[in-house]
Amino acid sequence: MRSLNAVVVGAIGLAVLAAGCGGAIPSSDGGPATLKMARSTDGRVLVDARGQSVYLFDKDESGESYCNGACAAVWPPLETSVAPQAGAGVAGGALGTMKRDDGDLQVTYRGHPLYYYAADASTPGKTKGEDIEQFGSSWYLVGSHGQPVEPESGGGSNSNSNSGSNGGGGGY
Amino acid sequence: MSQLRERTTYTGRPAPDESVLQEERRSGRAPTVLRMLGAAAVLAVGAVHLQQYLGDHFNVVPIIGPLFVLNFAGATAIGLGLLVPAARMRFLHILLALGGIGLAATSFVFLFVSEHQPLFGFQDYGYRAGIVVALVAEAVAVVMLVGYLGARARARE
Repeated sequence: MRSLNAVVVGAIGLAVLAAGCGGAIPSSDGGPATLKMARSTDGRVLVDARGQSVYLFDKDESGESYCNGACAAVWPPLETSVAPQAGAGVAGGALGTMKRDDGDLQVTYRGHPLYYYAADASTPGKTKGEDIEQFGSSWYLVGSHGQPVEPESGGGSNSNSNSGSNGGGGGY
Repeated sequence: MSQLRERTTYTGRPAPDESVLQEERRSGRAPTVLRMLGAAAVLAVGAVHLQQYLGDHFNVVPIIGPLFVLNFAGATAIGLGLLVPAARMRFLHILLALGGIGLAATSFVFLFVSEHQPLFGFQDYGYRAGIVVALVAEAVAVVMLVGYLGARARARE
């Protein structure tokens, strides 16, 4: 029984330690979100204050998010605690918020709810989520007018439902 | 010399140790049932992690994705090992049961933590079906395998 207690205590200790290890993938810290435009291999795209790519989900409509559960785990919503702030190249009036099912506020840009992609792993300039299909629809970087950014190669949608990698891995 | 000669049954296979038979007579079928149920629960834990990895795109999540694969591999090895008949696997079953308890308990704690705050930078959202199945299977595995070890310990007293 003593060895079992040691196992459980060890597991809990490991979990607490791991919980303090952040930075592997981008996650909203709950503060005010700031968005700006940045140049990428796919043109000028919307990024957050740290330069991490944000995406829109083609399935979302009328400012409502259709990404929940497992989808929200792989595509963490860009959340904010207060009104988002506009950075360079972003019109303040284009930014907004919407309330998710769990009550958190998600940032929208020209009506599109915005998300990170787990495979980008907190690295500024990573665009692994560009033009891939997951959870029933397509994901795109966001242009200055809120439009989905088509890849520069113009090869059409890359149906890559089981992988996060595609040609859009370039930096800004 | 005759003591060194191997006893055989009519099938030609060596008879199990008398101590194993005595232990099983004292404990009844409870340890076997608990071991089997624990094995099934551990296999279910591995299966649900594999489903999340392949079916819900967790293969793209750094650190968490590879951990899911390790979970599946470990759970499969432990679960299948626990299913092998006891006569040949007595000591190994104890080790596998401890491993199964550790795997299930760690998975349970990690999952619960990730629901409330980032774990390795990853956070899960809500209690969808896959998460509920995982939590239930992990809890059942811990309970069954702890029960199995307890029943074995009582039988040896």
